[in-house]
Amino acid sequence: MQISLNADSGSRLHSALKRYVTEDHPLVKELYLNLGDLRTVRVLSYYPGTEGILTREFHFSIVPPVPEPDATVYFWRETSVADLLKRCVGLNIEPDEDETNKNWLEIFLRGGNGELTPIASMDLESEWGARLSFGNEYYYGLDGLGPGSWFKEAHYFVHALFRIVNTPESFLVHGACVGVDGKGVLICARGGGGKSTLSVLSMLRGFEYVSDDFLILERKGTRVEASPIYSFITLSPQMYEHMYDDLGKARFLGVSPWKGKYILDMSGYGDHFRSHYPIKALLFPEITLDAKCPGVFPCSPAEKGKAIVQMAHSTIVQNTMNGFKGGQRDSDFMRCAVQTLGGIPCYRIVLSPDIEANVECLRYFIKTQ
Amino acid sequence: MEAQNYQLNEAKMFADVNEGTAIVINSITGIYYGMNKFGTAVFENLQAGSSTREILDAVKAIPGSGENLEEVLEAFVQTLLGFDIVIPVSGGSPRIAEIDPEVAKEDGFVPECTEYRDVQELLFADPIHEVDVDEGWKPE
Repeated sequence: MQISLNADSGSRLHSALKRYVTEDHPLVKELYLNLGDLRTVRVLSYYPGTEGILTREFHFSIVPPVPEPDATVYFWRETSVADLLKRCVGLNIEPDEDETNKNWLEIFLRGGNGELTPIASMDLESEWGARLSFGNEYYYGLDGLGPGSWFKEAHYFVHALFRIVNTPESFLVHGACVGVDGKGVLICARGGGGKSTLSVLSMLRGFEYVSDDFLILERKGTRVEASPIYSFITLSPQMYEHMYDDLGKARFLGVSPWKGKYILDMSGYGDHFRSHYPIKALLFPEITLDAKCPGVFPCSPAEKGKAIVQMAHSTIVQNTMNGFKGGQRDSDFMRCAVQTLGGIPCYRIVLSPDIEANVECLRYFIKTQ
Repeated sequence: MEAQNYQLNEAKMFADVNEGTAIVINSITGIYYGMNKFGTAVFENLQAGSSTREILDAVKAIPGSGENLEEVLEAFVQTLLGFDIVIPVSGGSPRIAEIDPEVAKEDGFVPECTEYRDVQELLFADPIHEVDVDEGWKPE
């Protein structure tokens, strides 16, 4: 179901929602995040029980308060999404029987020229909650947040940050980054493509580390730098078992409800984490079960295109789950990502079943570049 | 249908096939394109060096392919050309195109390529109801 509001109605919805969230719920946590050098985000959680996990999740991004943050993200507990509009602005929403998406509400703001800007997605059955954005303010009304489900819900943060940090010079991508001696490689692969195993094991074997999943890329002239968002990682149970003896500084947080991966707090490895880390090469992993040993090979133009499409499309897919867009412009992101990454040398890394050999192969490659 | 060969317009397009679905990004505009599985199969055969005639012959050999196949394939190629995804090239060596019959049947023998740009993809088949906060909205 889809509705559009004119500017006046949209403004009144925004005011009423803000009052509802901030006046009807006690504030439990306020923190400020610095993302790259470009954006400072204020996070206001009105969701009881999220104080500790928010602090741990963004361990390396938290900064002292600033007077004028670039964006604000609100979290609150919302148990009845279907009633949210009625409660805030007295707006009754009743779908036609023949509409296909009866329980999913998209709200658009209609500009003077008729252009539609998506401002909200709501699952009227509450499972996925309500997500609204008005300019630089992002609202997430969720239910059922707990240690086990946090990581799944924290992807909403990624949705917000994706839109907050996307500028002509910076963007958030779904990728991993590690390096040696200040020389970083950006690992481009879809989910299940070997990013986490290679990057986390590399960190445990002494590499410098930015992320195994999501990160921020900034373009500074001809230089491209990567910065982390989370201090969390996820590992399959098999990889967790393999690395168990080396994970002494990690803290187990729970099991991801999406793929059964283990979620670990890696803030104990702060000496490995890097921000503004220069990217010298793109790496495109190929998992080959019958490879006797790993190897790194230059990509053809077609292979490089494939690697960049994987990273860009994977990022879009991660940020449009359940159709939520909330004002982002895909084509702006795609253009920025493709043009930024297109200038970086690209290589295929053929991964063998011997994950320790893969790490040493990567180390040799970086050191000899 | 003439035997024409095409290849990816590498000057501006990046492409990947994931789980049988082609994704193409225009690096100049940022607009991206997705193909259904049959469209992806046709696209991959073009990439591999098959001519449109060779692809048509391969699809015609699949039971149930229908009579308007030539027009449908021609329209698909014109769509790819219109989006600047492929460019014509001079013919190479003869090649037998390979099309999985199940993929073709699943998509009704209609290859498709869809353009995605910003909010357009959100506009589902349902109407967008204009709503005033004072008046609310109910089905008519």
